[in-house]
Amino acid sequence: MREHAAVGVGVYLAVLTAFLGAAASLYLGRRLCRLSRLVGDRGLCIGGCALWVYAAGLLVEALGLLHAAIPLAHGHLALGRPELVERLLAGRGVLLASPFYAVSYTLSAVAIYVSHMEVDGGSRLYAAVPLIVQLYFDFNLVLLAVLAAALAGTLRYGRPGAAGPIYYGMLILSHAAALLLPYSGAPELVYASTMLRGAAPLALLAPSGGR
Amino acid sequence: MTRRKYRSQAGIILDILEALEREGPLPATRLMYHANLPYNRLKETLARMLEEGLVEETGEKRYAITQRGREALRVLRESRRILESLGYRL
Repeated sequence: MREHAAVGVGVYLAVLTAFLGAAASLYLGRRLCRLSRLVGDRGLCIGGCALWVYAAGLLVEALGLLHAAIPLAHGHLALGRPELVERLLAGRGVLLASPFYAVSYTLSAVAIYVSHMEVDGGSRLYAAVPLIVQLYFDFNLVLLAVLAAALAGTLRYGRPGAAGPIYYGMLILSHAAALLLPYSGAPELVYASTMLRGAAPLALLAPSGGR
Repeated sequence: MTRRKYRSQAGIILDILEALEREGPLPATRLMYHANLPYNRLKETLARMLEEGLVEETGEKRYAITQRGREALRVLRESRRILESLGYRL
């Protein structure tokens, strides 16, 4: 009972935060678009649209939480599905919202690129680098969460001894390596990440796993 | 003043408008110094600002801030922190 109450508080707090974040993003987006009209910088308008798409992502995430997680928070497991499946369904709002976030980050990077100009032989592409890194980071983080769920499902429902966990384990390692890249700056991690992703399907074809 | 290799258009416009508000009408050569911009970039930016009605040409090839320019300057100052947080180099 206490566990359900704790989940309930967490869900409501998350929904409230998401709604507040969406309202703030809508306001900031409007402000950027107004500024864009005033000074004639198209980049600012694209940045404003990025914030509106971000707000849409937050709303989708909040609605997904309200729809799926609140019954779980109150201890009503629908249709007698296993608890793991219920918990995965509770997170579907995040999954539905992730395309919005991807579009928003991309628009933000485009906005910064468009809004900056080269002075003294520099490249305006460098101005967009922080956001491109953020997009890359969040993309890998979302994939890690999805893959961890797939691994958990495979471990629970998959045939014992099959290659599924190795496959998902390698994919998880590949995206974890990608996540470490901005921190370590070691270019080997790029190749390691690609190699792990490339090798993962081979595990499914291995004699013990492909059957 | 150190010269930055890339800058946002909003940041450049802010520098130009602030200089014009502070010093009154200025020629392009003086604006080059205040905006820390090479001549070709400054001319491009001034052409766009004239189009948007932020500045106007006065006699003797000088540029002056307009009422719309003052309004833009106010909004830009208010939004400085937000813009910098979002990655726009001012």
